[in-house]
Amino acid sequence: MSVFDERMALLKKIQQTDFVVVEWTLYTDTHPDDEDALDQWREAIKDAAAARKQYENKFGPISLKSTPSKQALEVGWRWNQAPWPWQL
Amino acid sequence: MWVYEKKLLYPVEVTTCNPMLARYIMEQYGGADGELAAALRYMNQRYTVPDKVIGLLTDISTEEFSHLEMLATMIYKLTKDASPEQLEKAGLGAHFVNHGHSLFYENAGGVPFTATYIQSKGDPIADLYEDIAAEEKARATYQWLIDISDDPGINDSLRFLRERENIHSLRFREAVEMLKDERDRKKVF
Amino acid sequence: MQHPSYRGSYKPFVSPRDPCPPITVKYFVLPPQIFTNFQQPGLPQFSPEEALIHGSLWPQFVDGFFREEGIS
Repeated sequence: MSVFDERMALLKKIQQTDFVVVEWTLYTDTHPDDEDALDQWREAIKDAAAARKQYENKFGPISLKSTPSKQALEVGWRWNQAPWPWQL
Repeated sequence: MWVYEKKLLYPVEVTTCNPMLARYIMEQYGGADGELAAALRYMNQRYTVPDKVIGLLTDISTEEFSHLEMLATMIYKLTKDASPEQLEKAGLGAHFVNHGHSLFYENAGGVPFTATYIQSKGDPIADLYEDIAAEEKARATYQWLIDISDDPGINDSLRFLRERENIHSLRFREAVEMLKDERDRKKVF
Repeated sequence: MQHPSYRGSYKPFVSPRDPCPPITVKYFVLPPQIFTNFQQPGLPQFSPEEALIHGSLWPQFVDGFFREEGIS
């Protein structure tokens, strides 16, 4: 698998797990007392964080809320660096 | 505040070089029922709605900005390497002389975005009904875009965006139900 | 049509003076959310992979839309 393909695959995993968080967030906005949903929402956030970590270890932070890994800095990662999402 | 995330909400893959399609997609970028209008409408209404629906307006508005970025990606990719002649053939000649290859908040007919597309009445039911209508109108626009586009990659992303309108409409309808539960609450005290 | 339960139809009046060949049945969308005012808890879910593809975590609110349906 090329580096580009690997990047897109790891990114897809983030998009999938983040999307589940988006869905539970909107659902719990209108179902604040659904305890089971709140549990699933918390689990979804954990899954999304794990997927994010996998990508970020290799390709650097997706947002300024994560600390850049040593590996990312060593290969020259900088925030202000292409490709931006619309360029990929 | 907001924090930028260096990723799209959903993958955008553009299969064809088709500036004409970019022009049509601008309807959802800077049009009356587009994503910019949606994001700004909800983000502004949230200050004067009952507390229990503030979260929903904030979260949906934020998601609309990620939809806007997906549409920008489509327009950018569809026009990025097009020549002035190609743009002119696609009906983007007037756009080109004013904006070059840059994007602009305008609809498919080239009419620039205006705040008169959105409303804020300070009446929760009036505002939520406008929001439900906005979602259904955006859904319909996505349908006609899918009907006119033969780019499989673009249509995949448009189908995703259309489905989000279904979900947002559902949540706004639920918000109306939440407010109906407040009926006569004062008398309970 | 993939999801007949989320589509409606009607027969428009056809005049002998209509200039284009008449379409005798017109279809329109009746999206899933209009049949429910409030999502019930515990509905069946898609996997995260499927959810992203469909644009919803819950199959109940997905009606899909394809140009091959010929609604327009």
